[in-house]
Amino acid sequence: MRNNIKWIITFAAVILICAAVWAGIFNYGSGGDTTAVITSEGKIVEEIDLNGVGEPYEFTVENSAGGTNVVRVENGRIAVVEASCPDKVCIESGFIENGSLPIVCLPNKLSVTISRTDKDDGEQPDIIVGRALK
Amino acid sequence: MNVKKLVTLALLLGAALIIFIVEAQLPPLTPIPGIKMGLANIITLVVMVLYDRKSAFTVLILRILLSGIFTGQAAGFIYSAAGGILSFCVMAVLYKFIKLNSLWAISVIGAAAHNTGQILVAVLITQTPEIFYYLPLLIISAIITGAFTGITAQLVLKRLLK
Repeated sequence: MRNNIKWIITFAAVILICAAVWAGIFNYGSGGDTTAVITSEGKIVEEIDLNGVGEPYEFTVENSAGGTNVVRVENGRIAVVEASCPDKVCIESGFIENGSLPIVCLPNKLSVTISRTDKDDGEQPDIIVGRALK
Repeated sequence: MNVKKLVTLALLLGAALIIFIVEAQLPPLTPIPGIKMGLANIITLVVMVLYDRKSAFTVLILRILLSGIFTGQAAGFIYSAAGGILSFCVMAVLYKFIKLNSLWAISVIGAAAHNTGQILVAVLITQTPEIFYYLPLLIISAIITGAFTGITAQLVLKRLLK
């Protein structure tokens, strides 16, 4: 029994640590993330700037095995609304608005994430020297 | 291998298959990918204690293969296989060091390894490291489900070993 108590305490501590980490992750939604990146089978198929979205629209992603997911894009958020997979976890995830958690459809190998707009922008200058005169 | 052992292992494999397939019919508890009770692991633990680790590994591999064929989901198969094998390796190592009374702790750590293995494969296949953010939740879930299956295995063994 003594040995078991040791394990119970260890696992309780791990649970507390994980809960704290999770709370930190969940509240971390950096305001700079606005680009939705949709990948299918590891390759990027769409990139959408969510702030630039006017009317909400939907589109379908189909992978090489014929699996389909319908993605709904609205201003500032994105979600999966229909899917051909058996578990529908991707639909249950609902809308995401920031970069902390992704929407994934593992059976269809689809993922929807939000990342910083400037991450893929290779054209941003590293240093700006000088300033234009007004 | 004597016939009695062969038949018993075959029966346990059948039990593991049934448990796995029935559990797969249940709707997902949470919107988080990969959270499930993992009840088939009870059989893996029972075989590991009742016989030896090699037998347990054989039953596990056969169960993964057959359940992949029976449920017909090629996509889900690779996640389940990766998690199951990693989980077994971790449990097999721990089995040398942890007393039978604390078998449930082995189950917990095995469950955590299983979920971690699934996350690794998911990140590799979908190329999105953001999936790692689910890890804290999955570990909490692993501790709870691993404790449940581990304690059940201990109770089963207590009666079988009489």
